[in-house]
Formats: sequence, structure tokens, C-alpha cells
Amino acid sequence: MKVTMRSLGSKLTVSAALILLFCMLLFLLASWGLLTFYVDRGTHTMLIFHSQRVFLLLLGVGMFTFALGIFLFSLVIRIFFIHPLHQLQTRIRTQVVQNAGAILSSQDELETLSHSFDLLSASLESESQAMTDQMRSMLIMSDALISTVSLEQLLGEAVARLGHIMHSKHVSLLLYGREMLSPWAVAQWSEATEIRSTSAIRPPTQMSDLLESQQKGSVTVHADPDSNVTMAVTTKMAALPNPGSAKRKAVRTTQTTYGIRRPRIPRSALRDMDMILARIVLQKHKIASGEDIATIYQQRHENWARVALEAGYHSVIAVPLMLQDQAIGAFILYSDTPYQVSSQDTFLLSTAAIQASMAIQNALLFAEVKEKNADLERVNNLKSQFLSNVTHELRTPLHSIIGYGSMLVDGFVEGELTDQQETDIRFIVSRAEDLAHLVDEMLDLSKIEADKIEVNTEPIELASSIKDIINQLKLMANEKKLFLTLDIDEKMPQVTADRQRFRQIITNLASNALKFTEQGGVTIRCTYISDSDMVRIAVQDTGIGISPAALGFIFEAYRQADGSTTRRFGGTGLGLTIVKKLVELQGGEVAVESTVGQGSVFSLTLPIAEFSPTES
Amino acid sequence: MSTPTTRTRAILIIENEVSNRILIERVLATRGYHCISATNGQEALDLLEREQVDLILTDISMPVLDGYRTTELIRSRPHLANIPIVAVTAHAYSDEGEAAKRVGCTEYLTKPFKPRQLLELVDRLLPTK
Repeated sequence: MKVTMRSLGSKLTVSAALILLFCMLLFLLASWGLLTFYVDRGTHTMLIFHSQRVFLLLLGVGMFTFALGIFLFSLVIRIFFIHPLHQLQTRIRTQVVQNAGAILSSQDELETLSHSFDLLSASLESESQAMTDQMRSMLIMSDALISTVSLEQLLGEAVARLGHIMHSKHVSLLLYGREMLSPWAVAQWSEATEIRSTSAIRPPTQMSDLLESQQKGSVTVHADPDSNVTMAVTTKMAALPNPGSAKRKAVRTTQTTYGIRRPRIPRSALRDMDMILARIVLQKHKIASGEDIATIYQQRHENWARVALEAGYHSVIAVPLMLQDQAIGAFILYSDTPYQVSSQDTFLLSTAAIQASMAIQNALLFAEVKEKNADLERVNNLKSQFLSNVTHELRTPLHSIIGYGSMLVDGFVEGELTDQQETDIRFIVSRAEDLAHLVDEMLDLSKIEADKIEVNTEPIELASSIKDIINQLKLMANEKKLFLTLDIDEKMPQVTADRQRFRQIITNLASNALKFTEQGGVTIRCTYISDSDMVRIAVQDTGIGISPAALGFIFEAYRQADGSTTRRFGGTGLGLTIVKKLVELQGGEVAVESTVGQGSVFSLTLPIAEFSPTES
Repeated sequence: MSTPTTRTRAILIIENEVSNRILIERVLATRGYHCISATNGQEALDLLEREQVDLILTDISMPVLDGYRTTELIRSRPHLANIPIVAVTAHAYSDEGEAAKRVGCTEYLTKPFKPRQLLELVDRLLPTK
């Protein structure tokens, strides 16, 4: 029967029991044999028991059996305990040496073991702590990179932070563009000497340390983006010739065209070993490392290795900066001791490289957008300035025409005008007024579009303000025999609006409504919208209406509903655009509804004044 | 010096644009106002050293010295601190008028104005006693 036992305790008990049984059996057999021997020799049984010799012999056999039992037991213990313990110890010893860097003194096995486990757990803990810290630094770096939009600052941040996270001595960052032999941007970070002296035990990398290190380490950044930043993203960000079998050839054959543009980076900032290493990883698209530069130099006698050794570097890691599948540059990290690159380092550096390249792209795009914006703003300012000058020059003579015309028809000159003359002059004046109005609108719109208009809102009493406007427009309504009425609840709350602009908006909508109405009239209706605390002011006419197709763009600048109305009613269609923008500037919205032949409703909303009663 | 009731009211017109200046002069002349003209603020200030006026009409955008600054300088002179000043502004919906009031103008009149509007304003500011 085969019994398998798992527990060490049960193994021990069973083996002890077996040994005991065996020993007892042996003792029994031996003593029986001994007694038989004496009986055979014919000695009297009673004598045998009284003989001292037989007793001593039996005692000897007993002791021998006992010793045999002890020996067997210790053998079992050795097989089951000491041997595995020894194996464990050797393994742990190597582990400890690798992880904790401590060499164990040869002590008692169990003590050594427990000591080893302590060391191991401490080393694991510190490793996990270091990993967490690195990850945290990484996150902080990523945050910093993403929020930095100035390219030079970004590159500086990237090298300093990476240098600190990786405990490097020196970090270079080089950015290359398409068909460029030399980088268009170089950032360098060197560890400050006073840190080195205290960094025998590496402190956990943390935010405060980071900032400190940036202050203590020295950062230099040189960047020469094209003046045309569009090129920066499209060409500069593009890759070197594709890697693969033809890579070397590709580099050589295109070399002749590289002279086209050589970015202006000071020669002192360009280190040959940086450029050599950068070029290697740019072509490989993979992280490359020289874990012991001294050995590399002994084996291959490469020039960069000699220079690196002279600069005090003993290991180097080069990381390509990839954007999608294109290499745009490289990070090169130098350390002053030989260093074995772990998979964690590779992971960390690749992550850092991805973050950095994205941040660089962002910064370039941001710069591009900023430059474009500045251009647009310049052009827009020119346009506004031009418009302002032109409108002033246009208005002055118009004002004279209107003034002199009015003086003639209003009887400020001696002598009488014939009816025909008066009609003609009135016509001149009214057309000049249209023109002056148009010029005003143009200037207004240009100011709105240039964001140069300010609205100074204040509580406005709707009923009285609109009545004032109606009084002014009454003349126009009366001339066309149209009604112009206000429909408002007496308890209507006050609205917040710019008094001048409010007047302009309502005047514009109402005069427009009158202009497009031949029969009936115009009603201005105010209603309180309780759920949004707004007041809706609707200007309803019984005019020609607007076609559904035209309703969609009626508030767009420089358009009228259609060409025919333009001819019939004149105007530029700027009024509604201005109304829309002014209403929006005051926190409201405009809307239009219309049925062709029945009329239109132009409405706008304005927020109510806070301290006025919210219930009507 | 004659009393205000018998003396012809004098109005200073500050306007660089000649046709507008003549227009204002002619309209005001129909009511018997005596007009003095200046083509910019500096000229006006010089004129005010010698002449006594009852009301000032000033354009806003002028060479040499604009309407705002002119008003401020006029107001800084104690004997002119209370004289009515009317700013003639160029743009219906601009804040020029309000800005002019802030620097010390009594009223503002927006171009293009009808002769009637001008007279109404001047009459209101210079009531016949």
C-alpha cells in the first residue's frame, strides 16, 4: 500500500513511529537470540537471569538499538528537512545578492533564512516603492508636458524630468525633420555636481525633488522652428527615410539634398555622440542601449564611445521619439556607471517618449494656431482700421448732404421751394440717410466682429423704453398708414440690457417690420418665460413674410432674403446680423418665424434683472 | 458788459469740416445767435482766451486736439467750468456721446442731425430769460 503524505509533521510522526517499531523489533530479536544462545549452552534458566554478564549484554544490545534508532531518525530528518532547507538557502542567497545587494554571513540555516526573507521583503518593498515613485514622477511629467505649450520650455521640462526620474548624469533631446542632417531642436540637461555628491543613496523621486533638481541641474534648449510653423508640423515632424533593408542606402542617397535647410543650432549644442546615437535609434525605431561603454570601446573602438568615456559616461540609453509610425527625434540618457537596462526601464522610457512626442506635437500645433491667429488678428485689425477710416470719410460728406438738404426743405433758407423741388430734395435727403445708416451698420458690424463692442448692462424698464421707440417710429408707421402697438403686461419684470443697444435692436426690428409691411401693422409683444427667467420680445408684422429657404440664413451677414426684395426694399441685410450679435452679447437669443404672405415674427430673449420680482 | 437779456448769445462752434461748420452757423444764425468758429480744439482754447461765449458746440474727431481733450481743458478753467458744451458725435449707436458726457459735456447731438434738432437743443440749453 502506498501512502502519500503531504504534511511535514505527519511524515515526521510516521517515520518516528516506524523507526521505534523497528528498533523494538530489533531489540526483541536480539535479546531473544541472546537468551536462546545461553539456554543452548545448557546454563540454568535461573542462573542466566542472575548472571551479571547476560544483563550487561542485554543492556549493550538495548543501547545499540537505541543508537541505531537515533541515527535512523536523524537520517530521516536530514532527508526531509535539512536538504530542502539547504536548497532553499542557496536559492535565497542568490536572490538576496541580486535584489538586496547584501551578502549573507554564514549563520545558522534558519536564522539565515529568516534574515534573507527580511532582506528580500525589504528590497521588494523598496522596489515597489521606487516603481510607484517612478510612475508618479511619470504622471507628473506627463501632466507638466501636456500643460506646457511653449516648445522650448517643454523640451527643457522633458529632459530635466526624465533625467531625474532615470537618475541620469546627462540627458539630450534631439528633434529632426524630414531630410535634415542636423536636428532643428536640441535640449540638454546635466545633473548638478552637488547632487551627485549626496546621491549615493538614491532618494525617492518626488515632485519636490523634481523641481529642486530642475533648479539645480542645468538645462539648455536651442530650437529653430521654421518661421512658417505650418511647415513645422507637416515637414519637420515627418520621419527620416523609412527603416528597413534600404535604410542605409536611403540615408546616403538623400544626403546630397540635405543641404537645403540646416537649422540654426549653435555648434556648441550639437554633440557628435548625441547625433550618432540619435540617428541609430531614429532608423531602428527601437530603444538602444550601451550598458557598458568601456567594453564597447574595447571591442569596437567606436569614436562616440571614446568621446562618451572622456565625458565620464559609462552607460547610455537612446530612445526614439515616435509620432504614429514616424521617428521625430530621440532622447539620449547617459549615466556615469555601467547599467543593465531592465524591462521596466524600457517600458518607462517608451511611455515617456510617447508622452513627449505628443506634447511636442501639441506645442507645435499650438504655436501654429497661435501664429495663424496673430496673422488673422493683424489682418482683422487692418480691416477694422480701414473700415473705420473709410466710414468716417464717407459719413462726413453724407452728413453735409443730409444737413443741407434738411435745411432747404425745413425752411431755413429764404424763398419758397416748389412742390417738385421739395420732393426731390426730400428724396436726396432720405437716400443719403439710408446711406449714412448703412455706413453706421458697417462700422457697427466690423466692431462687433473685432470684439471691440462693449455692452454695459443695466436694469431696463421694458414698457417705457419700448414706448419711446414706438414714438420715434410712429411717423414712419403713420406715413404708411400702419398700426404700431405694444402688448405688454403691466407687471413685466425689468430686463438686464445695454440701454443704447436695446434701443438699437428694437428700433432695427421694428423699422424692418414696418419696411416690409404694406397693410396692417406691427405689434411688439413682451412675454415672461418663467422657467428660464427670460423675457421674450417679439416683433410681429403682417408683411410679405420670408420664404422657408431664406429663414435659415436671415441672420447671416451680407444677405437678404432674396435678390428681388433687395431691389424692392434696399438695405444690406446687416441690421439683422447686428441684432443677433448684440442680443447674444447680452445673454439672449434671436429667433424668427414666418409665413409667406402673412407676415413674420422676429423675437429675442433677454435675461430679467435679478432684483426685480420674478413673478408677474 | 450788457445783461444776458439784451446781449446777442454767442456760440462757439468747434468743427474742422468746413461744410458742417457753415451749416451749423447758418442754422443758428436764423435764430439770431452769434457764431464764432474754430477748426480744432487748440484754436478754440485760444479763442476762449479773448472771446466770451454762452455755449460751445464741439466735434469729437478733430486734428490737433480732439473733442474730449478740448472739453477737459475747457472744464479745467474756472470761468468756463459751467458753460454748456454740446458734443457733436458722428455715430448713432456708438458710445461717443456717453464718453463725451463723462469728460464734461452737457449734452450730445448725433450726426446726421436735422436743423430742427440742433435748434431745439440749443434753445433748451440757452433759455431766453
